[in-house]
Amino acid sequence: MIIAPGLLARRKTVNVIALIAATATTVFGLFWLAWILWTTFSQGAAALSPRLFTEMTPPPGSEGGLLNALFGSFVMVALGVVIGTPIGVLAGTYLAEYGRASKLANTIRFVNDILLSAPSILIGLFVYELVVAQQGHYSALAGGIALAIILIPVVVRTSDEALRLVPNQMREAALALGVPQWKVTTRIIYRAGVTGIMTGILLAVARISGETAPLLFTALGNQYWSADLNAPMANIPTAIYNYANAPQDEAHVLAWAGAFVITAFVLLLNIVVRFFLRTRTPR
Amino acid sequence: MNAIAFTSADTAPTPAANRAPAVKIGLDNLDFYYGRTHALKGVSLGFNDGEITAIIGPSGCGKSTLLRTINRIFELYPGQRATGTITLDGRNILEPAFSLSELRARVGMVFQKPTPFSLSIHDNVAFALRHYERLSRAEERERVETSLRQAALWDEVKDKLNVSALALSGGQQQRLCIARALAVRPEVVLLDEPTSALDPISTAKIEELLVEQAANFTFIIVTHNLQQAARLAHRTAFLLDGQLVEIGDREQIFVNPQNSRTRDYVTGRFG
Repeated sequence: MIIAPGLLARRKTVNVIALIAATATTVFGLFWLAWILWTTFSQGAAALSPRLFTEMTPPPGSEGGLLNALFGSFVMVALGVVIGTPIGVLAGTYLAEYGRASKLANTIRFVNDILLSAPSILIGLFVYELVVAQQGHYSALAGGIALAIILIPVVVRTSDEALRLVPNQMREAALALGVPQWKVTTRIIYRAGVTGIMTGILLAVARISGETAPLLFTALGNQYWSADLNAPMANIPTAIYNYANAPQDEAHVLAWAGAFVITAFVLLLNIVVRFFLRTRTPR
Repeated sequence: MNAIAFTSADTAPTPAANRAPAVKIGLDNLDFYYGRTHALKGVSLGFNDGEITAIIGPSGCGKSTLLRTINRIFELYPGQRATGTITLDGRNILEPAFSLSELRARVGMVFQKPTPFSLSIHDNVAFALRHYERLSRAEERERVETSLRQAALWDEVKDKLNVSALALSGGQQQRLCIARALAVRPEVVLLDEPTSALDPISTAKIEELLVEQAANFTFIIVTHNLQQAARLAHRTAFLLDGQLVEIGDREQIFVNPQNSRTRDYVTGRFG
């Protein structure tokens, strides 16, 4: 086969142009990420000190740490995971194992995708109406519920996809033994899909640990130590928000430190997820 | 073929010589539909107790479909349905009242691709066992060993029963799946091209174990490999376009077919 020389030259040119365009847009996209990370890490690292983890959030104008906010974020993220994970995984199980290609399941998938991209401030306002307004006060519980509502669609989606990746032959082989479906799902299919499900949960945790808007309307924030789920609770995102808005330099330093801690946590979580995927995937 | 063909054939089928074989599974006027596609058309035939019956035929003729009706695994998929009767010891298993759990405990199945569960070798075999019987640890170990021996796998795995089954080779995984199916002591075992994804040595091992175990079970094997059918099966059924063309012993099907289409198929003129 002989290719006309003109054609070959043309294809080579087009190829080079496509390559340059693709590379340039990738660099453009990554540039901002690198910039954000660089600013956060350089400013945040300078603000790091042991006091961050031993002292409470200070009133504006004085120095202090983020201990209560770190604790509060931990509690509310944990609350979100505890409330949201079972619901998300079970709903994903329904979609992948029971509903499959039914109209109902496809409708749920569609609605779930809408929920997945719902603005988080709406979810904050929703929980404000649902919990805070009813109770008459802000609370960590309301914060946890708001985070759970953000987490659920992520976990539903990833569980559904992880379970649908399990080959159908495995279901047939297990069901052909005469074992009922619930047992096949919990003993065999979950085991085969556990990597994907865990990945989804960890990614959802990364997502909710940085959410600010839903916590502003629910947990509010708290300058002091509080471990009461029924009372306003400090947390990192709202602390960043408040200190970044304050005029004092000390406050800005704390905001940077908070941003650093949360970014490092999310980054670490993503690395853990990748490691998890690599070691737990068979073959 | 080679030497394997001879040895297997020599040791293989001669059981039913001095007793009339009893029909274990009987199909009567069986029709099967994938939605509107009519895949099996009025198939009637019997599978004898304690024998190996092979089902042969070109791709798409309904061999696997036929097999999948016998344990009602097709019911997983909406739109697939079977009409007619399939009897197991005289009772119609297509009746909705027939318990699926009982049916599948009595009729096991091995698939084309090895499907080990992400469990240890021991747990793979014990999984269904635990569902049906309450056994002590010692009894369970014994049953697992028996099944693995029946599947000619014991010697290769006896020192690593707690290792993940995914670490086994393809041929070993398939024998594990056979052990898993045999562990619940089914009466009938359906094998859907169990060796088509395997190397010749693994294939020979599986054929040998089937011949060895034939007296204890009723094996129904779908195969693309005519030599395999000739080596293993007491009787062979030839299916074409969803219809049964002919069923008979090795002599009849492979040497002296009654139907010209069977002759054309076994002599390689089509298929």
